[in-house]
Amino acid sequence: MRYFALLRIFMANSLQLELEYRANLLIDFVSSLLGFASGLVVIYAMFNHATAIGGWSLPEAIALFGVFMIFEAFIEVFLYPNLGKLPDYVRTGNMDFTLLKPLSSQFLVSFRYFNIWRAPDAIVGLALVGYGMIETGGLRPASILLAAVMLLAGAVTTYAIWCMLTTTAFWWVRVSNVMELFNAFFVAGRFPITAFPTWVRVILTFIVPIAFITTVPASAAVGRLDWPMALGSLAIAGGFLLLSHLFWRWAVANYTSASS
Amino acid sequence: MKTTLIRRLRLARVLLSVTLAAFIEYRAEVLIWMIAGTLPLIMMFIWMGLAANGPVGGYAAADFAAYFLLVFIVRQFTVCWVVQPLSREIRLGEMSARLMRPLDPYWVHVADHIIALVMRFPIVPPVVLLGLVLTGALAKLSIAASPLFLLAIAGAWLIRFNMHYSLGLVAFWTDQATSFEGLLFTIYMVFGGALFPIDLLPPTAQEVIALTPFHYLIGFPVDVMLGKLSGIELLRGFGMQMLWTLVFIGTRQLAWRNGLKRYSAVGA
Amino acid sequence: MISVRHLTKHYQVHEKQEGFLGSLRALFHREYKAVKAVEDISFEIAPGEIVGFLGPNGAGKTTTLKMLSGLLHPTSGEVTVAGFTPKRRQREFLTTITLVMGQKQQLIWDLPAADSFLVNQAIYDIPDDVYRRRVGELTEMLGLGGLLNKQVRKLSLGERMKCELAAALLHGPKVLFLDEPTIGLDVNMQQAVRDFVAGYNERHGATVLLTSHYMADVTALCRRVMVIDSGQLIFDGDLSNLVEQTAPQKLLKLEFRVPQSEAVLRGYGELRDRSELRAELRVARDRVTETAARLLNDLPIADIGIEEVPIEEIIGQVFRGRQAVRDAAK
Repeated sequence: MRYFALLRIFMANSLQLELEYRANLLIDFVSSLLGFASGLVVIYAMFNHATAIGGWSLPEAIALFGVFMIFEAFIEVFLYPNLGKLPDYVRTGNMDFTLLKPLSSQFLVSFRYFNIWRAPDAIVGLALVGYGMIETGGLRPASILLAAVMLLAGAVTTYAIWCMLTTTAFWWVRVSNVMELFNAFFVAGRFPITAFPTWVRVILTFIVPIAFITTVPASAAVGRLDWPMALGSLAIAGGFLLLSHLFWRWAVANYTSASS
Repeated sequence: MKTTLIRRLRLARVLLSVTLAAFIEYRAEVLIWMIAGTLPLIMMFIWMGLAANGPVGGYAAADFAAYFLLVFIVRQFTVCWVVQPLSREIRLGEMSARLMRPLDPYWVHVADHIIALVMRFPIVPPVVLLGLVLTGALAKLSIAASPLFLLAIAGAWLIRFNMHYSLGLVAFWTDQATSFEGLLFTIYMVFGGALFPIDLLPPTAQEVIALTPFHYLIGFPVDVMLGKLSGIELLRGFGMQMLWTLVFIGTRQLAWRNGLKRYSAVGA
Repeated sequence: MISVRHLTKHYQVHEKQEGFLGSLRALFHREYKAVKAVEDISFEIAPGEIVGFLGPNGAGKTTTLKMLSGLLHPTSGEVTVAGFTPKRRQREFLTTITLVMGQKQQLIWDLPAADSFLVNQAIYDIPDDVYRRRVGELTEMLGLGGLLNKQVRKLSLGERMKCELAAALLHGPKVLFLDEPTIGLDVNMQQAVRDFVAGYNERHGATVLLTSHYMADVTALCRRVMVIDSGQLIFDGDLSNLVEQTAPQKLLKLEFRVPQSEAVLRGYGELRDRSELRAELRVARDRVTETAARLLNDLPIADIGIEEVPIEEIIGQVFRGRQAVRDAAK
C-alpha cells in the first residue's frame, strides 16, 4: 500500500520536474519521430528486396517493430531515468540516502522518476501491433490478452536485466555506459529471432533473452506463438526478477560508499 | 620554433599517457563500449539471411558480410562521445578550471579519443579479420585500397569529432546538448549506412544522402575499401570529406569563441 | 543508546604507479593495499548525550559514522544502536536514526523542499497530523518560513542545509548522526545550525553524534568529545579533560606600560606572539600562578590574563605529535 502511495507521489514529482524543463518536450517528440521513421526505413529497405524476413511477412514484421517500440518507450520512460542514474548515485555517494530509508532500496532506485514524454512511443507501437494483427489474424480477444501477458513478462525481464547491469555500478564505478551493452543486444529485437543464424539465436534466447522480450509478444499478437515459448517467457521473467533482486541485495551488502 | 615543437610533443605524450592510465583504470567500460558497437554485426546477420537464397539489390551474402564488418571497423575507429563530458563541464562550471590552463580543452578531449582508438587496435582488426575469413568475405576487399581506407577513416574521424565537439559546445546556450546527440545518432546510423547499404535505396535518396556529412562518416570509407569507387568518385568523396571537415572545424571555432564570451559574461 | 566494541574496518584499495608503464602494469596485475580505516574502537554513548567526534581528514570519522548507521559493514567488532545491529538495516532501526551529511543532499534539486518532505512522509509512513506538527515545529525552530516552497536550487547554501536538516528529522529519529553539518556555511548560519541541534536535543532528548571541522561546533555543543586519528581512538572524555591532558600549558596574555625586549620575556616562558606593548607566553600549567606573580613583580604590567590554549591548537598539536612519532617509527 505504502509503495503505491509512493508511486503516486513519485509520478507527481516527475510531472512537476518535466514541466520545469519544457524544452525537453520538443526534442523528445522529434527523437520519437526519428526513431519511428528510421525503423520503418529499415523495414522498407528490406521488403523492397525481399518478401519475408526469417519467415515473417511485412505486417508481421511491422507488428514486431511495434513491440520493439513499446519496449523502447518502457526503457525511456521507466528504466533510463531511474536505473540509469544509479552509477551517479554511487559515484557521488548519494546512494547512502537511499540505503538509509526504511523501504526496499531496489524499489526506491527503480521507480523514482518517469520521463512521461516518451510514453507516446508506446502508443505508436501499440498502433503498429494493432495494424499487424488486423492484417494477419484479426483483433481476437484471446491473442490480445496473450500478447498483453507476454508484453508484461517481457517488461519484467527487461527491467531485471537492466537492474542487474546497472547494479554492477557498485563495483565498477564508471559504468554509466553499461546500458549500452544491453542496447547492443536489444536492437536485435527489431527483427524476428528466426532471421539470425543458429548460434546467434542461441545467444539471444538463452543468454540475453531478447527473443522472449520482443519476438514472443509479437508472435502472440500475430498468432504465431506456441505454448513452450509462452511458458518459457513467464518462467524467464520470474527467474530474472528473482535473480535481479538477489544480485541487488548482494551488491548492497558489498557496497562501500565513495568516501569511506 | 624547435623548442615549441618539443614542448608540444612532450605535452602530447603526457596527455596521452595520463588518459591511457584512466582508461586502464576503467578497462571494463572499454570492453563494454566495444561490444556496444555491434549493431552493424546484427544488421549483417539479418541481411546475410535475406541474401541466403540469392543476391539482394546486387549484394550477395558475402558482400553484406564484407560491408557490415567494414562498417563495424569504421565505427570503432571513429568512436566519439565528446558531447556528454563537454556539455557537463560547461553546465557545471568545471570548464572554468580547465580554462585556467594554457591549453585549449579541445586537445584534452582529442587525447581521450585517440587513446580509445589505440585501445581498440589489438582487438578490433583481429576480430574483423576473423569475421571476414569465417564469412568468406575477405576476397571482397580491395587490399590495394587500404591506404585510402585509412585516409578516409581519418577524414571521417575529423568530421565526426568536430561535429560532436560543436554540438557539445551548444551547452553554452542550452542544457539540451545531450538530447540533440540522440537525434544526431539516429540520422547518422541511417544516412551513414550502418543499418543497410545506402545503394539499396532509390537513386534520388542516394544522391541526397551523398550531400550530407553522414555518408562520409561510414558509407564512403566502406565503399573505398570495397574498391567500388572510380577515380572520379574517389576524388569527389575525399573532396567532400575535406569540405565537411573544414565546415565543422569552422563551426567549432566559431561556437567556442562565442560560447566563451557568453560564459565569461554570465560568470558561471 | 550507542554501544561500540572493538569496531574495526579494513578495506583494500588498488594502487597504481604513475605514468605509462604504471598503467600498463596495472592492466595485467593490480596491487592492493590494505587500509586500516578504523582500528579497534570501543565506546558507549548514553541516551540524550551530544558527543563531538574530532579528527583530521581521513582519520576514520565518516567511516565510523557509516558503520553506526548501517551503510558500511564492520570488518570485526560489535555495534549496537538503540538496541539494533545497524548492518542488518531493519525497518525499525532505520526509522530510529538519521544521518545528515553536510556535503551531500537528499532534497530534489529542481523541486521545492516541501515536495521532498512529502516523499519522506510517505517513505517513513508518517500520519498526516504528526507530519503537520513536525513540519510546524521544524519550521519554527529552523526559521524555514517561506523557504519550503522555493525550488531547492534557488536556495542559498545555508538555507539548503536547514531544509536538509528538517527533511532528515521529519520522522522524529532518536539518534542523530551529523557529519560536518556546518561545512561551508557562514558564521551566522553555523550558529543557527548549532542552536538548532542544541534545541532539538533538549526538546526531544535525542542522542547526537557530530563530526565537524569547526571547533566552535564542538565547544558549543558537546561536553564530551572523542578524538580519532589514523583509525584509533586517542581520547574519549570531557572536553575540559582533553585540554588538561593534552595541553600541559596555559596562555598568559600580557600588556605592558613600556615596551619590553624579546630577550627579557623569553626568561619567563615560551614566547608566542609579541608586539611593542603586548605579548603571549605559554607557561606550564603548574607554574602559571608563580610565573604571573614574578611577571607582575618584575615588569611594568598594565594588564595580565590567564587563558586556556585554544582548542584548535591543542588538537593540532596532538595530531602533529602523533604524526612525528609515526614518522620517527618509519
